[in-house]
Amino acid sequence: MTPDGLVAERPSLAPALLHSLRVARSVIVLVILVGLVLPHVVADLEVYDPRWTGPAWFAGLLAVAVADAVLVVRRRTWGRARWPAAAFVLALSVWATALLPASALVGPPHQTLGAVGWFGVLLLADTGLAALLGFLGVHVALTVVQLGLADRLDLLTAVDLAVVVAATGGFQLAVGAAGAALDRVAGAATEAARRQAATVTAEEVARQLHDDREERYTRLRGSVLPLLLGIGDGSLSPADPGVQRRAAVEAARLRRLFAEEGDVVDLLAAELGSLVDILEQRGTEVSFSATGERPVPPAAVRGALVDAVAPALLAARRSARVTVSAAGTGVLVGVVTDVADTDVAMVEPAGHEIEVVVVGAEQQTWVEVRWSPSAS
Amino acid sequence: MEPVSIVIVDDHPAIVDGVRAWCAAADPPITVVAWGHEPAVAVSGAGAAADVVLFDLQLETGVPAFDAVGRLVAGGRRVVVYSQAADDATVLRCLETGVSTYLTKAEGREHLIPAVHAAAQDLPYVSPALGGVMAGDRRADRPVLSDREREVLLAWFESDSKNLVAARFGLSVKTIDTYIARVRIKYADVGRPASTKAALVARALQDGLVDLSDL
Repeated sequence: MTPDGLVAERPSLAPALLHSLRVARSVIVLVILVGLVLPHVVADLEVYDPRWTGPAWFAGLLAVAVADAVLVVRRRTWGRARWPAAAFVLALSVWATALLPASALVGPPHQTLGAVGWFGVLLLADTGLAALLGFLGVHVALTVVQLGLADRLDLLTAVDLAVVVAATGGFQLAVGAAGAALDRVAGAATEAARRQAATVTAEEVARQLHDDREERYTRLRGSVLPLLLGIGDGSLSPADPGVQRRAAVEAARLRRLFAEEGDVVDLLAAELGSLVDILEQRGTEVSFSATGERPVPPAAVRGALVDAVAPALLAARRSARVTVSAAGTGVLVGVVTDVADTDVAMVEPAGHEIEVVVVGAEQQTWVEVRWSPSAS
Repeated sequence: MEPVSIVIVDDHPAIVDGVRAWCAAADPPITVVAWGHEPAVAVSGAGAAADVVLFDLQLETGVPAFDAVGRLVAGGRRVVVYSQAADDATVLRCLETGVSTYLTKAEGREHLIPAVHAAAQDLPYVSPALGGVMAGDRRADRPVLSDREREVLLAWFESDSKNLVAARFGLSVKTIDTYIARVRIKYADVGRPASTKAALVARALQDGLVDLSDL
């Protein structure tokens, strides 16, 4: 997995932690180069022949470390350039080792031996521990080959080499492993943060839904309770057609409230269906048809559409027709009843970009309610 | 004049009985010459000569029998689809195949009898359900309808009453009929050719319902 991929997958926390790690690595390498390696290069100038070659390989390593620091500051990665850069560092190491006299190998002037591994950390640790191990292994192998060419493969040198490799390589691997661990921790932390955000969002949605229902229950209490109390104390007569109509309207509202709890795709059709149920229960034959690709009106608009057709529909006697169709970007609800329009008590639509058309002919009334959402 | 004859392809005995009763009571009468629950009843025996095939799209297999409809239409038969299904895609596919008209089973005698008579004479018949589907058609290759044609179709779908549509637009019922029929002819004039479609268009031209400039 590339570090770029990691950043893309974990947008919040991981990049910040991984960036801190990269800053730490850059500082470590620059401090080692300037604080530990440079004094040796200056002190051992005469060991190199010609003399400029010591500062030359040092400048090469410093250039790579500075380039890395610049990338870190700009929050960019090496990308594919990491591979030629790693090869360049190894080449510098081979060159610097070849410049040294056989007697100076694995001694204090052989500074590249310990320092080069840090460039593996800088360039390759992001791609995983395997690449870093590979880099360190290749470096040690090249050094062993060069020792062989210089005829320095004696036991003492091998022990010295092992000490240097174990000391510096152990450090370098530890920093690389810390990075890998931090990467995992950052991923887990980001995932935890994301889950927490999702929980908070779900709670907020549930709270709003609850408030919304509370509000509607309150509204219902304002209309249903007086009706029930009136019927209970005898001040309203169930035989009165007006009371019957009020009861039917309230029953429809209650059903709508319950319908919203269900998992129904076409909520408008479901709400109208509740009204149709009431009519069918009292023996009115209702045909219900829906056609076209219709948008889903918001809850307030659905309520207003149903409220606008409910009185006409509930006034139907033997038969009624209910339709829902697409109209441009909006919705048309049509209700036709077998009642002359003078008998239908109309409700004024409460805004919501709703128009009502009432047509009467031959003992039939057609109420068309059109919702046309304004372009937004 | 010989009474119109039909063959009923439907797997619901109650539907077959109901349609036979409607046909016996129709004026002018309609003779049911054969019925059965498989398309074969329309291509062999007495059913092969019927003027109109009343076809239930959802037979026992449960899969819409588009292929059987296609074969009947290709054989020059006038097919009235009478189906439970009212979804736009199914209705439009049947129209494209070249059926005479499409009725849903929610649409009873008052639409079925005139639809059969119209089909027998190659006249267009548009039930409210079919009108609703054509008005809501959003396919790229649909026929071009005028705004008024679409309004009238939607109103017909909503009201199921040409009197109400006429009252709403201040037009005569005859004019409303013309608008609706013209849309049906436009649908017959697009897509895959079929002899039944050609017959609808030819009859509409002959009756002056549309002229060539409408097509």
